[in-house]
Amino acid sequence: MDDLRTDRPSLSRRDLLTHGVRAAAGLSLLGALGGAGAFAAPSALRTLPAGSFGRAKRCIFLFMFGGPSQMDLFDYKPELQARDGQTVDIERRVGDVRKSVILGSKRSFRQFGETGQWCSDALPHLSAHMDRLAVIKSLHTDSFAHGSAVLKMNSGEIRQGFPCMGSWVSYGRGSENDQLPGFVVMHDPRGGPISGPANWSSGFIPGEHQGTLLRAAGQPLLDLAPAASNLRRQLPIEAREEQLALLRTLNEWHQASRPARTDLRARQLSYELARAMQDSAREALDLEREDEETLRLYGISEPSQADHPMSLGSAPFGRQCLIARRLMERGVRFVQLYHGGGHQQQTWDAHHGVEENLSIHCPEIDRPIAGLLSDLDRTGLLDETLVVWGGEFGRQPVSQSGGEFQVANALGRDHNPKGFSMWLAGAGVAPGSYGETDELGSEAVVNRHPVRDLHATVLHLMGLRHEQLTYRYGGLDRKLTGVREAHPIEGVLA
Amino acid sequence: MVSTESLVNDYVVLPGDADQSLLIEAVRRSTKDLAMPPDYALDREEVSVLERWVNDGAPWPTESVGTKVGAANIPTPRAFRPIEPVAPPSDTTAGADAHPIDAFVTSALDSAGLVPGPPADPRELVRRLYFDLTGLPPTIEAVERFAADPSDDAYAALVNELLARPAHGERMARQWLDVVRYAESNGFERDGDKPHAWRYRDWVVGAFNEDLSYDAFLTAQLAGDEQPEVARDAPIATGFWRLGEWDDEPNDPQQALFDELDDSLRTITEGMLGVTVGCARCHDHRFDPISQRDYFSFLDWFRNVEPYAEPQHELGSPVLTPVGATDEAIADWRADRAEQAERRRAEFDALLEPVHRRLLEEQLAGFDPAVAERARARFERALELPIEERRGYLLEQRLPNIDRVLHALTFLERQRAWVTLARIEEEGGLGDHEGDLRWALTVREREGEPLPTHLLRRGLASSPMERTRASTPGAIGLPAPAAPVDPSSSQGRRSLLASWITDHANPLTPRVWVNRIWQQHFGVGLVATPDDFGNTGTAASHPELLDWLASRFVEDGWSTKQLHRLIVTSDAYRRSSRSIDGRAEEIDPANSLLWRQRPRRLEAEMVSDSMLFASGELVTTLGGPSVHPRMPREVLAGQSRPGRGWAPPEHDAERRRALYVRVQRGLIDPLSQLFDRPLPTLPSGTRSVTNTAPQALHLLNGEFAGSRAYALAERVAREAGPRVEDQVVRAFELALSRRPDNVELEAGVDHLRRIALEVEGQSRSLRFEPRVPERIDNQYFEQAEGADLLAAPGGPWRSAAGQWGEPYNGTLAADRERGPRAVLEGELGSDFRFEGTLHFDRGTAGADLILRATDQAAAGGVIVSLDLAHGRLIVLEQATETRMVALFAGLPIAADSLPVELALNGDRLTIVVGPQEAGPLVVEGLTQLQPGSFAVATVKEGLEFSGATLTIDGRSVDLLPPALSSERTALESLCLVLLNSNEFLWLD
Repeated sequence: MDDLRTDRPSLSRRDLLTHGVRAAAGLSLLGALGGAGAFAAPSALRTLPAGSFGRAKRCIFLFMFGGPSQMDLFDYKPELQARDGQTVDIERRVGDVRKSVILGSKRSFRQFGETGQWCSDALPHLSAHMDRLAVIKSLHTDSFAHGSAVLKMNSGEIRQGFPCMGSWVSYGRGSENDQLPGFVVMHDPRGGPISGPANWSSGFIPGEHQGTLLRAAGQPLLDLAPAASNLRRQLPIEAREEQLALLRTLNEWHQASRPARTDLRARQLSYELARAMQDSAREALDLEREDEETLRLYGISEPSQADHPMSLGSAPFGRQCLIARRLMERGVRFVQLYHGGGHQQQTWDAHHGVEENLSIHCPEIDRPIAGLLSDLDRTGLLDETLVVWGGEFGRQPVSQSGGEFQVANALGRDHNPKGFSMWLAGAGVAPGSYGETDELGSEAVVNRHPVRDLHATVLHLMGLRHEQLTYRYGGLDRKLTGVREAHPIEGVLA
Repeated sequence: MVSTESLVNDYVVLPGDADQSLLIEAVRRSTKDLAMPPDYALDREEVSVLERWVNDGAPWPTESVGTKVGAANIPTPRAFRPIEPVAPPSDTTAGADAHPIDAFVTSALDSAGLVPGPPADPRELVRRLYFDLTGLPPTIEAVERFAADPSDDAYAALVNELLARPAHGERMARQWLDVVRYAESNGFERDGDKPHAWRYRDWVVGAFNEDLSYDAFLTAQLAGDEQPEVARDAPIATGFWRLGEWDDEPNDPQQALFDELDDSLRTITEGMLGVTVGCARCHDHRFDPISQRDYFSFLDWFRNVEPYAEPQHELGSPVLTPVGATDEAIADWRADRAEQAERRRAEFDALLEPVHRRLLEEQLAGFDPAVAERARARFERALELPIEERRGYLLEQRLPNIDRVLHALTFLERQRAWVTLARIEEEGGLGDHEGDLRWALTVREREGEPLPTHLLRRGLASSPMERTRASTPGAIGLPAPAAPVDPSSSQGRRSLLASWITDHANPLTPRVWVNRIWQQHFGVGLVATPDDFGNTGTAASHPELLDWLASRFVEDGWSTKQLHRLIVTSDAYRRSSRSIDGRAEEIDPANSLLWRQRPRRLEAEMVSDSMLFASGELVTTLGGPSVHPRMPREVLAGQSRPGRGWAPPEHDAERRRALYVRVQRGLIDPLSQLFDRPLPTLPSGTRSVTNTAPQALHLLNGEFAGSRAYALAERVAREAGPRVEDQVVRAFELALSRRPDNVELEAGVDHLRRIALEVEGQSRSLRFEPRVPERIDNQYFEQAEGADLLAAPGGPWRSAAGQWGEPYNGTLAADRERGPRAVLEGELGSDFRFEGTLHFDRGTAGADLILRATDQAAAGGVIVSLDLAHGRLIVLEQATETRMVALFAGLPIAADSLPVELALNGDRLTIVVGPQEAGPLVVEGLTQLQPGSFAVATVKEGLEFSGATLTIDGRSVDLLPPALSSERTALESLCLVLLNSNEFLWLD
């Protein structure tokens, strides 16, 4: 077979799996991939807790699009409450320092469990799971704009065209299930994230690692069912089989005089897989196979309990979380669920009222995520599954709106890339609070970590060394963590 | 290459602390994982010298920073050295009069003890040639003509004919557009439009068709503004500088500026020179003799280019220029613009101001009078501002902004306001007016004294170091052009750069280009990494051949067409791609010595173009603004504002060549994406070839492939007549450019018979499906017709857009009760009887059956609304107002399917839904008695009817579109299979 390679060195599927195994074993990929760095970066040599490497086989990333407010959820700041209404200087954009009015959280906070982690009353169900969570409170990122920051969180770059974390993990670890994609993305019913499809793109690494959109409604995957105008829509199942049989026959005849061509054989195989996928995708999404108790656990069965008219209630995200668990069971490597889609109050982007925003979105995620953690735990999946929660950035401790003409419940918070919280749970994660922001929750000050460290952490837990998971493109061995130094965040590793 | 700086940057040394330095750790071999040098240990003395050096602060002689040291340590890649004259070898088994290419290729094969494979079958060859030169397949007639006379003369004539076709330029352009990461939007958060970018695309097509010499082709793109004589419409070519991504809201504006310059630098150096200079932005290149100083010296050639900016149709715009406009045309444009701005402003104010004032008063109701007065004063100030600034000001002042005004408008007012507001926002303000001028994206230098370029520590804009001046990397064996003479202006610098790049003695430019053309004809270049001829790229498989081709190309006046001729007339090109030589397969399995040709999968554009070509639908119009084929709802749904940057399909949209499909960075159509078109982010000279199940699903089940199969079947039936054998033959001819053999013919005929039997008498269903997500971008909506919002079954059904509202952040949602619907045309009446089963797609939230539907736009009628989300059945009457008549609970929630019976007589409606033991639901006293038609609406997801019957005033009405015969359906089935076959997708 001819090797029509994208860019040297491209890897065949088999190579990939081999590399996946090598990476999992902690061996160097550098040599195998032709990289010739004179010295490995120091992070490769640091001693990390051995127990956490590769503990996670799969990952669920719960992406809270819009940027949730850390100081109203996990990052409790008594000082913020105490100084509510005072004026401070806050840098809202790079170089743009303004006098701003502190907006104390309207939430009440309590400590939970043995780890004694704080959680606000906005998430009453999730707070019961605080002992499972490692809340990282000291992340910072490179952009205050959604479009760039979401891409940064997904791909490590603020511009599009680079492989996303799910693609890297799929590339590095291959798939455990041939009939389902290795990297699955599900959207909020309100819409996609800003900057759209670049957020699940495989960039320059081959398209098979692209995130596949799975839909909770309609056809599960694009083209899984024939389009209305496609005659297959009206063909009985036997006739569809006839078509595939004829295609197989023609391809076999074509192959007969080209016996060495494995690429042609692979293409025929892709049709067999496509057919299998029609059943496997539907089956994975079929929640009727779940019992009533499970549906209740995820908040699916009850009617919307949200007070706000814009809130969708817990059922939609609950369904997505349950689907994510079903995908984990079926060996899908990386599932990313978006919560929030579209703009402003359709997402966590609480410019126009943080209290309103919480009242819309917290009830949507609280039971579903709590349910997911309980369910993963009771099924034993949590031992080999990594759960990541967070958005593209955090929010400001000051009121964005306010001023004399504004009504009180519309007090919003602007974007804040300088400090925000995310949490990890599950395989290889040491629960507990990690890192700190300043007294107002504004800027990460203790154990500060850039997004690339979070990426290195996820890869580490997934059994991939971030500095060794590379793809040669445009003259560089490209990495999810980019060219600057990155380290897994030791403090959250078991 | 190496400096203290780079060592620190690379974390190799920590100056002053040997114990903390990786270098020392490595040479001490104290850690098992890290031992350097790898093969032997340094002795103690050597180690201690290094330790001392680090503890002394790792001093590095300053004058050595840069290429000097690098040149000593890093080998100069072969391609950086001058192209030496080389003669084709004469003593090969190819014979003395062999084609020069074959002399080189055979010589290498001889050395490896291999023999060249046999020539390709003429039919395979002609198909290969057509795709390589035009991107389109040959007709069977063209194939047979060549098969009848495959002589060298006939072949040469065919090559010339294909090179002369307009399609050739289209094929060539696609490859170049990958290299220059062509796109028509900016990427980043808003992914805004790059207006008129298509003129650049058309310029490229034209340049290839006219065989513009490659040196002029590059010069025009780099400096066509300074040298308009170099090519036709040379200023348009400078759109090259405007194709990259652009962040209109950067986190760090200064850094973003250098990102933009970096993007251009990479495209020039990787695209034109095949050198990854971009790697030296933050530190010296690790693998090539390119220093960080080289990087910034190169950047200095175009440091003073005006950065990209929001494109305004202004004479002073840094990015837009009216090309070839006369003074008169410009005067007209000015006059039109002033008039239009005034008109729009007046319209807008008249519409919004009263509502705006009312909202203000509502908001101020409870406030202290003094506060309210201040607010009013600020509001009045806002009204003085130009509209495009008003929104931001109001927002800042916490006064009711335009979004809130829009909420408060009536539906029709809102529509008009949206149109105006959208125009203002999208077109960049009231003053923006395109007129009849021929605008193009162009480059422009900043006025005044040029900005100095400084070396930036670690590439950070905030850390400037010493100044660098325009130069070229010293390791590339061609001296830099003399520095610009006039220090007060940057004019002419890009021309100098262009002159260096296109210098006859530039070792890289011709090598890189001939290699790209070689790759086009052999699937893999002589250098397999066409954007990287440096040390990290792959070595040339045939270095002498590459050099010979490059020299010959320059001698031939940089003629790309001549280069094509040269390559495709070689025996190497014309060889069979079959692997029948077991020994060769063993010795050179990758076929890098070219003992045979390489089979290739069609590129994404070829897949769709060939389908259109086969079905006879291809519209061969050359050039023009880009088109928007239908984007599946599922793909639109992935955007935060679904439909933004896209539009409903134009008349010919999906029948144009894929080259003309709009390239929106944030929204790539599934076929291009699935079949490996690279993203327009980085220069890309190669494409992956993946084999995935979603590809199979797309070609089997997708709308595009299905429509092509339909059209192909129609064409076959028209051209072949009724005999099934003739039809199978014609289908093969059109899809595969060949006749079927007997076995294939038999299989085809058998398929037609079987499918016809299976579908005979098969009951058909009616399908209604939304074409867009629940919310869409208001501009998309503005351009949409009913059929773009709801797919109706065809035949007597017509889609009506209905009413859309609830504006939220530039999007609209369908009105639940008056949204899009499919109306059964031409059948009016008062009494209705409907029976049938409704099947709901997963997630369908509801369906409406509308009786006496009177007016498609206002949607009057009696609506039986199945609310599946809440398990309710609601009866509404709709005239100018909507009135709820009855509500029944107890409908199953999220049902898969429901049998429904409706009978409407006079003011009485009876309804049976599902198994209703308690008898039918009866609604009496209806007042909407006007005769009307039957209509259907679906909410969120699709809906199908099976076994549906309808009578209106006692007449039985046919709901189904006219049926295709079962024979015709079978033929369509065969066509779809052929379009999916490996033979269709692959070239031998």
